[in-house]
Amino acid sequence: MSSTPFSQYARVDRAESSSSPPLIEFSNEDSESSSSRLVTYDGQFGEQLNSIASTSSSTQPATSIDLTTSNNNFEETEHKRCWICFGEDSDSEGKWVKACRCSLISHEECLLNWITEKQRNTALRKVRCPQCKTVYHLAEQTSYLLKFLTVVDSTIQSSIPYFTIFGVTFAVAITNIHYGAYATITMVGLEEGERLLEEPWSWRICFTLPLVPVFLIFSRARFADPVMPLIPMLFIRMNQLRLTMPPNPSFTISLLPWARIIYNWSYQRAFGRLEQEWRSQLEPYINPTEIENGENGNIRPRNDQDVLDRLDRSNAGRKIVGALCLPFISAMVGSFLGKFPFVRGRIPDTFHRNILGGCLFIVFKDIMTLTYKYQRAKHRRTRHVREYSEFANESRQ
Amino acid sequence: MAEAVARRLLKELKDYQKEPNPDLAKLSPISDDNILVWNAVLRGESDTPYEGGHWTLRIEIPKTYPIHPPKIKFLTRICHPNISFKTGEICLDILKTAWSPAWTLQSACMAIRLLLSNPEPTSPLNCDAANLLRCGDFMGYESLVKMYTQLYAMDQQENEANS
Repeated sequence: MSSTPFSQYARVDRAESSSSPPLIEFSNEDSESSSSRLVTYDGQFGEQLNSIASTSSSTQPATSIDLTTSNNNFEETEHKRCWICFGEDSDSEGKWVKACRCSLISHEECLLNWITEKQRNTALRKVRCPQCKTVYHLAEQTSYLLKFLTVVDSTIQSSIPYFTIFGVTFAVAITNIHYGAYATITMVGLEEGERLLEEPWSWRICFTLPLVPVFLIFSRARFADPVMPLIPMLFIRMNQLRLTMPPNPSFTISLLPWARIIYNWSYQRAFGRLEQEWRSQLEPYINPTEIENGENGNIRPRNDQDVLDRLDRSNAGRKIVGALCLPFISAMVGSFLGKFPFVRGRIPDTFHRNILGGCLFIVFKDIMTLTYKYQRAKHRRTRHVREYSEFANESRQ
Repeated sequence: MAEAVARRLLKELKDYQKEPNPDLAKLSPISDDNILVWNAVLRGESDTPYEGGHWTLRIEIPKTYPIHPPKIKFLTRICHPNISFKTGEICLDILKTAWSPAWTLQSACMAIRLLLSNPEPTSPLNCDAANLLRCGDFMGYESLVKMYTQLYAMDQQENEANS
């Protein structure tokens, strides 16, 4: 909200008050009207001094007349009214103070309360008179220690949001590093993992470890296809990429994104059309070629892939949890494979057994999903609505 | 402190009674027992869609008044971009951050009255009214306001006259 209403109001008020002359009434009755008895306000206050002039001056800017009449000699005017508590000579106590150049006068106590309130959150803020905008000057005994502590306090106060952001970021990074380390140890086995993650960490480990969960989640999104093969380049030294038989772990890791792309592509080729058919049987009322609204409200063309992918796409949480669980599931399948002497003989190291386990799991999962989709489509095909006459008798029995 | 609040409020009441404000049909505490809750009745400005309406305001005064601002809300339903249609809450800076003890209950009410004819659609509490203004449909806005004024703010006047 701007000050528009205020300024307009001030203008109106000035116009009104200029038409009505200052009206000061004196009373001769007792001034025992400390107003603590609330019941007596209904017309029993003729004894109080009442000045329209000072009331209206509290809501209008000081004019030049105010300045000349009230300059330096407010002590001499017979009628005083505190602009904060409206207390007057007759009914209030306390030291009077005129702190600015306009006609406003107040009790020192009232003004100090107001200044304290304005400075509550920002102790170094300058407080001005609401009418003439004069900065109030305070005479105070300020020790250097207090000044120093005040600066420290307000610095801390204003830096809290940054600390919060830093803290949250730090916590996320720590969580990610722990996840990354745990996933690595799970995949390569305890001994190898401890050797890999031995301190001091090289910059590659520092950089890659917190990104492990991010990469895993990325691997479930199609938009990451172009960048995924580049990711292993971040943490694998070129001289590790020797073609050996069996391939060394670095080489296997850098092959995985390509394997992923090829697998997805051939899956699409083999089952894409079939899945689309089942989908259209399940939801025949949805036209696959129509344009749907994207997540951000942007209109994007809906292609075949999206239709097939919707079961997964509809549930981001499922994808993320699935991606993060993948290393541990791979390790479980891998250690299961390790129980067979045949596999153990062919693939001696844990890492490759686990990678194989992960691949087998993905294939198994896709087969299960495919079967489920097929069953659902079949189920939908066999569905029909029964005639009422068929079951009307059944329910009556 | 409580005594100081009472003293200031009684003087404000006195000032109002001495020189009644034609734009403010009523300004008084709701009961003799509690001076910290007031009612006010605003008259809509003429030549605005609020013309002819009477709105009741509920003013709740904190014990720390006038260091802290009073809480003012509309009891009568009103259609205005900066006033909540459901709760009657008012978005006005002088009732929050820009408050100073130089304001009185009467001047605050007059500021609210001026807010009626000077809406600020960029910080709305009533999005429907604000959207009409923001897309420049002044005719639509005025007829909407007029309709609600007639529906709620004029009935009340009749009710008061009848009762």
